Amino acid sequence: MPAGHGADSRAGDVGEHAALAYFDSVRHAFARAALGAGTFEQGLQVGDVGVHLRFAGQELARALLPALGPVLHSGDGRPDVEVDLWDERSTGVGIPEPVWRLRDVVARGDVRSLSGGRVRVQVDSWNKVLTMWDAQLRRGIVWAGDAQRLPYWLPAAPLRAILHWSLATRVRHMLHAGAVGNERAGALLAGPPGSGKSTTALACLEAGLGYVGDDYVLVETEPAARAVSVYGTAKLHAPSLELLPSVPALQLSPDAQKFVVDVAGARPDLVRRSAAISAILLPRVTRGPLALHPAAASEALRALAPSTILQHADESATGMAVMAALVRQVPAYHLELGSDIAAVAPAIRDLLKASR
Amino acid sequence: MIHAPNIVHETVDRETIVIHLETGNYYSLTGSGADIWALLDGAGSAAAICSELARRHGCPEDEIRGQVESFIADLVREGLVDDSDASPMTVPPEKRNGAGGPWAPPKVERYDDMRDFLLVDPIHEVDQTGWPSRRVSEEAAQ
Repeated sequence: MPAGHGADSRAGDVGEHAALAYFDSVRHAFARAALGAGTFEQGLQVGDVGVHLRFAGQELARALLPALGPVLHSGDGRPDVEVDLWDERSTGVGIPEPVWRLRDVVARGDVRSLSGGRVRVQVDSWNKVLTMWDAQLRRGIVWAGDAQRLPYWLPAAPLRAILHWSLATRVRHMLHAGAVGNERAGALLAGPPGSGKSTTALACLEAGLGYVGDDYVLVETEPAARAVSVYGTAKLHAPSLELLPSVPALQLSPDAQKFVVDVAGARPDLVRRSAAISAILLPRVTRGPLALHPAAASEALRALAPSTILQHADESATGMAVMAALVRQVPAYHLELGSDIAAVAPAIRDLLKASR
Repeated sequence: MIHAPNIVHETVDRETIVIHLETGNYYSLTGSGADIWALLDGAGSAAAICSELARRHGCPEDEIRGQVESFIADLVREGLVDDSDASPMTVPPEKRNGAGGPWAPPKVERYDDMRDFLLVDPIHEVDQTGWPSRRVSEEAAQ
């Protein structure tokens, strides 16, 4: 049996039939919300995947759409993916009682007994957000308790679970990584929170190197390694913000541990829809001079895979294979950022020139 | 012996990275660790693996048995491998390959810096106002 998904069945597990029936009842709830509040529709184009979003009311659209600037699309033609979204506070319509038990929900938020099946679920009890996906019909649904009380990081990178489920293939995956560069040469920035991905990405933006993303990007490994922009925002701690004077902080909620900046809004000329991946950089905040030195492919996989996979609900084995393919085809480097932020972009520019 | 559920793994440059999806821990297997990991996948008991590795590296089984068994015990303890009795006693022919060369002791390194990345625990830290009727659901389940 391939590792990754248990085929065990325990008392209390929810079956696919029950999950599909529940999905239908949530769709009925959405229909009631839409009837009362009206609908607002928006298309997205992420890579070659067209997504059609249908919001009941405006509240959730107002919260989630600003960060999706790079992928907003007029939505011509038949979409590959359809997603219904609503919030309870502004529409007065909640969700039916779930069919799974909370002890069947793993810490990351997915329902254990539905793992790997047709219906995918992500439950965020703390923030009151439910996301469901029907892999066969390629249809998603998102409910939020209150669009105005989402944690700061959610509107900064919205619809991650839906995009992850709908975009994942054998050669494509949403990765927890930043990316900079252009169609000829670019770098993927990998590492845990606090390693300096955002600072590096925004230093490159300031220097005109091309900004694709600071935290989550879509990565394709075929026909060539490429990073596709999904979110136009960046999340930064206050000290990094001071180093980047031309990018104003636009959004700050009381619970924010980081500042969220609207990069696509502030510097649309420097945001790229996609970039080649000719190197994987593993930044680290250090003192002293900047240093770049080769890293093993396994180190790059260690920097990319755990943080990507532990945040994503489901599809972990496919994602791991995509990342392994990527680190096998692209060289990796440790990037010790040093004390001089102005040195970062020129060093990356030189590296990318040499890699072309 | 088989790889446990709730893990994902890949091997790159003779290093295997294993991620435990429920604990959030991840592991790096080096030395002969990647070979042992590959042999564990539905293939064999510890004894069968020792015998295969001794053949590959041209060294006596006695010399490596302690290292292999202790490495496998570490994997079992970390929940990466299921210690099942149904393991075949020999390594199947399709798994009898792999590089020879000098024996390198297997090493496992554990990283737990990603545990905080998992969402808050829905059982213990859920909002007490009770979304979505958590207490009712849980009580009904008892």
